[in-house]
Amino acid sequence: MTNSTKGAPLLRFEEVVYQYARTPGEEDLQENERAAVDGVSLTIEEGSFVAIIGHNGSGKSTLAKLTNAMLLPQSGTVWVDGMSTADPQHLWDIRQRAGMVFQNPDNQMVATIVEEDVAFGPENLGVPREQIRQRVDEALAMVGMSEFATHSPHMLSGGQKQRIAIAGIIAMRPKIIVMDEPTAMLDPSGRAEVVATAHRLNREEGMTVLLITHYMDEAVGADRVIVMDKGRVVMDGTPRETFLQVEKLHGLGLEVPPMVELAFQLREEGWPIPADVMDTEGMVEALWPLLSKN
Amino acid sequence: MAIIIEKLTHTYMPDSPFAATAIENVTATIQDGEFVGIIGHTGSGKSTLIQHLNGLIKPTSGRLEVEGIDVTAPKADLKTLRQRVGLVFQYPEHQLFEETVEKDVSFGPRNLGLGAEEIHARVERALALMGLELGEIGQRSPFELSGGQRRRVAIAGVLAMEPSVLILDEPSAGLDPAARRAMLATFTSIHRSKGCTVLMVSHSMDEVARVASRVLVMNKGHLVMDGDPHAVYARGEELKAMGLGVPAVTDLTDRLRARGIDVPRGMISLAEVRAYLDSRKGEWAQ
Amino acid sequence: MGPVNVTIGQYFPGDSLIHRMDPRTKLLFTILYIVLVFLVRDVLGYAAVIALLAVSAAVARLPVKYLLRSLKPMIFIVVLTFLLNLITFGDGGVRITWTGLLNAVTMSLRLILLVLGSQLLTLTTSPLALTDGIEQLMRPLKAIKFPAHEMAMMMTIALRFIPTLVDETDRIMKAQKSRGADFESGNLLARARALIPLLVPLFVSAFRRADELAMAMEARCYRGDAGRTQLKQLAFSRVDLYGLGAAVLLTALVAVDRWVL
Repeated sequence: MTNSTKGAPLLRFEEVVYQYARTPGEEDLQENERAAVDGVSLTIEEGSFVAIIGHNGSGKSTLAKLTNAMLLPQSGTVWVDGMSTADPQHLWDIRQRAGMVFQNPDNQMVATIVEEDVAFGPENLGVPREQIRQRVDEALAMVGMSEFATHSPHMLSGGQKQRIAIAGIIAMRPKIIVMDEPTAMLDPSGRAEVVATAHRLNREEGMTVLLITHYMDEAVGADRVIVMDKGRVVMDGTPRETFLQVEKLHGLGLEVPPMVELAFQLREEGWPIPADVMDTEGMVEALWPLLSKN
Repeated sequence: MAIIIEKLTHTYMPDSPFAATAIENVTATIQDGEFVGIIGHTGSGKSTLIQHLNGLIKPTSGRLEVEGIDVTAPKADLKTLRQRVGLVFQYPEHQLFEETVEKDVSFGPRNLGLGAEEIHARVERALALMGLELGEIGQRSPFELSGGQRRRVAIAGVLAMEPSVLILDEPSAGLDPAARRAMLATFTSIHRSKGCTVLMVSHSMDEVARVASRVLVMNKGHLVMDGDPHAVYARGEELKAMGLGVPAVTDLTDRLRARGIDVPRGMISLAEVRAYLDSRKGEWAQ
Repeated sequence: MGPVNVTIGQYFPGDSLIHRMDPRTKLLFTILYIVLVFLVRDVLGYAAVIALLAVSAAVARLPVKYLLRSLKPMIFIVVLTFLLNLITFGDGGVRITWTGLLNAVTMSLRLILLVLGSQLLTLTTSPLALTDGIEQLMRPLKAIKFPAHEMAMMMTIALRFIPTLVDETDRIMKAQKSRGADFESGNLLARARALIPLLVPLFVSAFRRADELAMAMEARCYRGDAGRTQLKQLAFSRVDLYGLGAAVLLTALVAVDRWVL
């Protein structure tokens, strides 16, 4: 699909500011969903898998809505594939290139049959009929939901619904998928399904993925982790670099994955646990040689 | 004894092509003051089970006694039952409806027919238990609060009934980690200070491990495990076969054991693993 | 959460001749059928209509039980219709006459036939195909600025969200019941007032869902029907022509029977 220019800048934020108007007396009205973005600059490269984490109210969802012109910056510029989101001429091109998956699996499905829902995007783009068919079949295969093509979405699990939502975006052939807390309402198996699907798309199809989440463990497999707080980017690096700063993350009100926490505590006590231990597998490899000496 | 469940079975839409048995032959007794975690997949029957406990649905067969009330009796006193058993649904903030926080929280006590003074006192107490102050937010619209506050107000609405059994259906769903931790701490403190029985449904093994003194595991409508969290999580293989996980530290000890290291079973918290590892630090640190 | 089953417009998937028919044909067919039900007036006519219904249901391979179930919510209205027609209020009291009985039977039969006929349509046509069909049939009305596409989109979304909102109603109702709400007793006024704790959250939630859905639709480049294509093309086939021909013929016959002979 999009295995063209890996590494080229695809999404660029330049000093982006966005603040919601507030009615006096209603200071914290919907504070979670309506947090400001306050001077964010960052570049997302084509083909990368980037996780953005932050607690509720850190501005990460506002950031997501700025990527596809759902919101327009009050100052600064957002560039998507060379187009500014503020340019109304490119509105639909931008939304085609930057597809978005939302939090609530129920509230983003339009049709009563799975394949017809996946077709919704291409239909809006005016894709010829035969090509829509092909795109729908491909997209459903990519998320592993082909056998549910003619089902009603109502009876599917949360994780399955989110995979359908992802298929609906893929069928538009975007260059980047922005996922705005796609797992917040799912159970652990649904979360795993969705995150695995996102990784597979990135690995096998070269799709650029921007995963916004408040679960740290979902960021472990990313190429890059961006941490937001109060509308600003406060950390930006590989998962390893980020998770090494356990105290800073705690200070931001974030919880690190359990094995990262354990590794941190053990290191403090003098255990030789390497810095790249982020999951159980890594911890077993680190502890085994120490514990099997006798 | 708080809750006696005997061979409880519930079939949705019996005698139709859509008949589905949600729970089958569930038997358990829960004592006063226990903090019980209920885990299982979506569709394992856990929601059906808890809805029986305050008479929202009636069993197809079996017997159920809650706080001395025989729920299965034809003329069970559901009003008293629902006062004694508070049920907090998933995303409870979606049930808010009044103009002010105070009015919303007082909905339950008003339905009980209590006097104005008693209602006021209960609303104040319930909000306080959830870490909110009546004087501060009582006159505000629940719809202008933040998501986390709305949920706390909704839960206060159940606590204002002053139930002796509190049932929580995934009370931390959708919250971020900090809010999740704070919510759990709130329930631990309510359990401690009020001495009420708490049943908490959760998807998170770590969460249950942190707060519950007993764990029920539901799978395909059956109660498949019931016991102390250490004992339940020691059966990691079975839990994984059901598509359920174990707390991360339990998984770690299981894998170390599989590699031939003699780690004791049943560790569920970071502190326990730390204590164990500390005891073996001397082996390599000479 | 208990699995809910909403029969309104519930599609019974299949691959029969009737399933494959163009939704426009089926819509026209249903309209003609309704006309037919009101035109026939003798036993032979009713027998023909019932036969038509039975043959269609058989061709569609619909389980009879499934079809008949749709009558359940209608029983009250059918019985009421029957009684209202049966009883004549004359001088000095209530009388049951032979004509009354005949009227009562015909009216209830018509009602049942109407429900079954329209049920046959919705059982064999996916809601989306149905709305597509309606949109296509209403397309000529666009000339007089009738929003055919918007209407169809609204119907699709309504159908999509009915099961979701039914679940939600069930959940909120139970939540308020646990807080001691009583939806069942009291007089009419008390019961209406008892619905507020149910209706307010439902509206709030419906608005929230609408808001989120609108955002998701825009994110997927929805901008009305300008330049829009469709996955499923509606195409008249030979089956459609035969079906439609047969229906027109039958209606003509009944009309002739009624007015000419």
